[in-house]
Amino acid sequence: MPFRVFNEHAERYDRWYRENPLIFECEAKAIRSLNLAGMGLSIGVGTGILDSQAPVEIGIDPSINMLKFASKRGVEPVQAVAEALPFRSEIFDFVLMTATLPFLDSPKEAVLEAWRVLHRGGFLAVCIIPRDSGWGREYVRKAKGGHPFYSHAHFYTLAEVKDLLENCSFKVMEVKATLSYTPSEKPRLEEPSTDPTGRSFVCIKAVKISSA
Amino acid sequence: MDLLACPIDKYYPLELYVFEEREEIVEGLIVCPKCLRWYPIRDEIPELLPDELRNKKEELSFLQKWKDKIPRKILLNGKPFNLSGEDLR
Repeated sequence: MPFRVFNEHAERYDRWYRENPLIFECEAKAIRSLNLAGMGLSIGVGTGILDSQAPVEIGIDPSINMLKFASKRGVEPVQAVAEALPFRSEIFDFVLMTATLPFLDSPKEAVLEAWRVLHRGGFLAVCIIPRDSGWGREYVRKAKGGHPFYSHAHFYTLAEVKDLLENCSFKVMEVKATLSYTPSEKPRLEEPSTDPTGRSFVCIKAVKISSA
Repeated sequence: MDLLACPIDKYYPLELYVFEEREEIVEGLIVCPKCLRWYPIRDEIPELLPDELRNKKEELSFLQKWKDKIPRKILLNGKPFNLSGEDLR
């Protein structure tokens, strides 16, 4: 992933959420409903606008410009990549990856690294825009049109992400989903649901089990 | 600092050298004593990227800037870049 694109567009990324407060609040509610607690790491923290909805202590991202925003939101910034985390093993209570997966060169390596840095019984929360959801289809369309972020992205389905987690010694505990409206519909505030059907922002909370 | 490990070989504890400090460390150096990889702290952000994502020109200029404060083992043998072959006087 050429992360320079994120350096160039950090302000644009952050502004989109500020200009779409109802969509932001739906996604923020879904993240807060995961009840993540303790010592937390965000992988692909970006500007921190969403990830700081959980009590994230440290955030990594390859983009320095994104990290400068995250730092202002109280997240301790570290420039690093998901596939080679610069942390000791078994030190975090939770790891959060919000809209990070599509931009990774190797999602499996990243999930295994998350597993390594988590305490036994720690939680990995992965929030995705499923490829087969209303917003996912819109992003795939934008990607084909050369959108600066999404043309570098690979979107996954919920089933694919669940398989990935379970193949890396995680057990899926719960799903919290929101955005039941499409990009062309008027946004509205929604409470997160445990039913992902027809919803475009889906958070999967999984617990670290046994050895990878 | 006590949470960090080398992103490549996962060794810890890492060594910390502080060059400029205000409330936070503004500029400094993190060293893996096992593989001799070094990682800069610039603008208060520790940069622990794998070798292939590092910019050789910027990294060499960082070593030049702080060469009087950087341990000789890094100047001569540090990975992925070092100043061996240059006049270090």
